[in-house]
Amino acid sequence: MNFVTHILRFRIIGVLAFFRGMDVERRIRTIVGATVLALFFFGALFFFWYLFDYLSKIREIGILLMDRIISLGFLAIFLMLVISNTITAISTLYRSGETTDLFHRPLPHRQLFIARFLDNLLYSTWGVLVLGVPIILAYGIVRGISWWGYLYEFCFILLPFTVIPGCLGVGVIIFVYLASGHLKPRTVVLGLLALLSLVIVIYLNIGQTSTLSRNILGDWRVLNSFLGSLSATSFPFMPHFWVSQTLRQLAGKPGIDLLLYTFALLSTMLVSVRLLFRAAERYYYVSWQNSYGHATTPKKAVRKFSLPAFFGLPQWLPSDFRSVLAKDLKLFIREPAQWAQFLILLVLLIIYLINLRHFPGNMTDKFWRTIISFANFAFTGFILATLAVRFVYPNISLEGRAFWAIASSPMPIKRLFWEKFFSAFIIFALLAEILAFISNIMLGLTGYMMILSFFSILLMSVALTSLSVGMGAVFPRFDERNPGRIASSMGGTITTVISLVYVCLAVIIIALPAYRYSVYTIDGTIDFPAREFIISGILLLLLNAATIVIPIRIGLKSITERDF
Amino acid sequence: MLKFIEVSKKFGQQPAVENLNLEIGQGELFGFLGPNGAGKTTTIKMAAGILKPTSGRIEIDGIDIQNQPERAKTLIGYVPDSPYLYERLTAREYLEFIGGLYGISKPQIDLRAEELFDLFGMNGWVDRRCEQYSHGMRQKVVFAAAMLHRPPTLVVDEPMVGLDPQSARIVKDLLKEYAAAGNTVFISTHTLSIAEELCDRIGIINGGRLVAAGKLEQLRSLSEQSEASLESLFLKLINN
Repeated sequence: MNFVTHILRFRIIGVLAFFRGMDVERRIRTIVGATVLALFFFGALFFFWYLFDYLSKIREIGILLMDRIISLGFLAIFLMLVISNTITAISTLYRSGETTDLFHRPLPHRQLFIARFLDNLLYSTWGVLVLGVPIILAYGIVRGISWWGYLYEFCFILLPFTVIPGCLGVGVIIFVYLASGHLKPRTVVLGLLALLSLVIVIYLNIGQTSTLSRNILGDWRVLNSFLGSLSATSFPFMPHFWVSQTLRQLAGKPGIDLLLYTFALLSTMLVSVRLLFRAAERYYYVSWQNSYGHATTPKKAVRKFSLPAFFGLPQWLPSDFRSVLAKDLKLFIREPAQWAQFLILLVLLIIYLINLRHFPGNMTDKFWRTIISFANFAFTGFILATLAVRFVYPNISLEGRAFWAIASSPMPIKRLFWEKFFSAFIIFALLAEILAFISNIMLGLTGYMMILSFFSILLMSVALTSLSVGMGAVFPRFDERNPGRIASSMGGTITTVISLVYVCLAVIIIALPAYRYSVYTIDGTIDFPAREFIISGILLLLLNAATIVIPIRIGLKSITERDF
Repeated sequence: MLKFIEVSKKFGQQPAVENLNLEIGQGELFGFLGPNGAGKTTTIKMAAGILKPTSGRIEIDGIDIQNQPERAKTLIGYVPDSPYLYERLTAREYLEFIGGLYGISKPQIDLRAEELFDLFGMNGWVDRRCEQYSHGMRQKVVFAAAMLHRPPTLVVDEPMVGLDPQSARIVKDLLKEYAAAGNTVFISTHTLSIAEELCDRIGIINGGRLVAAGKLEQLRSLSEQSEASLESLFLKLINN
């Protein structure tokens, strides 16, 4: 009997039963969620179509830039898929009641693993594809890919492109739990992080990003030759490169290269799957036992009050507020799934900041200085949006099934909501301002631009925290212990989409007057753009007011009226 | 004192508890019996302030839990049927956390926690994380947390689940002594022998409705079975 299809059949039955059994409120939430996702999908499609269409009209380098964006975009998606698969595997393949239950049943471990692996792959991938598919469609529309080209791309290219990082991510987690039988999980995770840092540093150094920032200041011909030279350093052995190359082939006259890259993707997928399944056959059960053992075997006692006890927090805070805050800090530090991801993001941020040192400090061209400072502002915004959804959004859900203790205590649920808000906001705003400050210094921004950046980032921190805390209260998942999975749930994905839209709008609103201002400083004959500044200020105020007030109001209403 | 006045609870269109009127006095240990899905846990969760009644009122020592939830909740201790804890906290830290929610000072928490740990025989475990605890050990932590602030009303959902015989004895004695000290104790259970052994009065709920309440003798006379065991009484009342 094929247990994999049997398990998957009941998974589908479960999903259908979930949709059939939805009450009116859940139905409305689902419809709203699906609408937001659809809007994001078509918004992203329009954005990339507009961008590619613009680039396609730039002579000589337009197509090259487009291909470069596609390649970099798919590299980012590939990395996201690896991280997402790794983190989700903890709760799907290991710390899952369903997996434990399946291990009790008389079915081969290989089939059990395949069923859980497919589950993990689906869960980790769908959200990322909401971003990936519009990029492909937009590229295809601009470059005139035919319908069979799309069909080819989705069947033979996208499938292996998502399975390969899935195998990689799950392979990493099997290794971690296997090694944790001999080493402390903390040591294994730190070791992997060090390895990841090393790989990224090597990648960026070979990728010669510093050359880009210098040459872009020269003329377009230098940039063109620079982009051409990048083909040697675009990692032709990486799947994101193969995807970009197949798209390029499909847009032109498909040749033997199309088959070559398709073969590279398909064969890599088959080898990855084969290797993973073989490894799983030998090591999955052992590693699962290790993960189970870690939670159940007696360990040495925790040192008494080794972490800041809540009585060490400021006394002017209400007792219940301090108590929940201290508990949250302890749980964060003691949860490897939390701090490991936090460290990954921190490593990426540090590498980004280190790479900014290549930026020429003596750049005097105000136009380019403005453009680059806005690119940095947008990047900071996107990083903050990611951090907020990943670390702030799950906070209320992470109270989990133990929430009864707070719900039955005299602590008002409203206060719990504000505890979640302020504790996240303080850490979040601090991190955001440090990131903005260092990157501005690296880019040589001072004076008004620094002050503008300070307030914009502060405002953005309030808005993104409000959004994540509010939406986290509207879509809580008390049954889920893995914060990564909470963040990638439907509510989390909607929050990601809204956060990204907010960041885009904020950047566009601020960029318009800043662009006019930079032109004004270059060309003394035009007027100071006062009207643009006023309109921009009003729009920014409205945008932030809506992003701060609406989620907090609906979040508070939802959580206070909820039965636990 | 715990008082339910015309309390009803619906989940969507589905009634879980209907027009419940019940009063449990000081010094009384009241047992709530019923088959699966009868509405016991829903009633207890409403008393603990976790669920909101669709209609009606619940008062704890005269304080309405809907109108003054913070005040009412300081007067109640709640032990749920499933003892979910924060897995990465130790029992000591968990009690510290709970004490903070009730505004108890640290020295008081320490003192009371030691008393309770001694009482439940947990001393070797209190500085280990809850993720290492058995079900029975978790149940003990939850009991200790519920009694930390010395509430005048204790609400317990299935008190004996997962406890070893020694711990079950401790809990039985504790509940009796707690009620004897003038507190109100409200327990729900499936185990009829426990209700028979411990409770001053028994209430039987079926399909969300309270079908009978009173001392064991009163229930016997109600069912016209003067010598019947609680089990046969229960089955007769439920089937009727």
